[in-house]
Amino acid sequence: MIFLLISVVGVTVYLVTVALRAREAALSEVAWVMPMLWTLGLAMAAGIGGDLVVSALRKGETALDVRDLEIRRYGLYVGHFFGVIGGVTALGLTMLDAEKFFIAHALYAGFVVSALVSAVVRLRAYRRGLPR
Amino acid sequence: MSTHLTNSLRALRFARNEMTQAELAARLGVSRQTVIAIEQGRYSPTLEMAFQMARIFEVPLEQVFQYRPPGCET
Repeated sequence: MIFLLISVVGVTVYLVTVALRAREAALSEVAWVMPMLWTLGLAMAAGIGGDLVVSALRKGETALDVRDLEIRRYGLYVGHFFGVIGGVTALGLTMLDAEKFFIAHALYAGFVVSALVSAVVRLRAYRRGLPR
Repeated sequence: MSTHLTNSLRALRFARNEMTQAELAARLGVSRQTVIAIEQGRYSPTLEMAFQMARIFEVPLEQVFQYRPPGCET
């Protein structure tokens, strides 16, 4: 749940920042690099922090057991598919000589959707079990 | 997404001096949530963990887990 929240907050902050900047310039001319680096960096730091908090809360119990690892692996496996779609889209855009802005955002969208899907799938697996 | 495995973990825990889920989890080296998921049929344990459980309760594996394929009522 914490990872889903981090992903949603991260992408929302980034999109709002870029949207506000896009009011004064064309979308492809917006300064997006620093906001993207900051939101990605902070999301990663928050993810690591979240992992530490979850481990601390589970003190006295096994931090990650075989079921957690299976669910994590399953989440990564499903999420990975969306990361690949982002990569292939970026590759296509590069071949079409698209602006850097769109190539970078195709990759970013791939990362974000991958993280969101992975988090949702993991949450669902914890609540309803892994698919057979 | 429940499994086709049913289990007698709850009954076995109670027969064993009312062992708590937390105690069983500690002996298996897993979280209490995992024991709950197994008891509720939401997670099939690994073969190794299943044997560990049978050993903890000192009963044959079939007494801990029963396999009921779909359509089989017995």
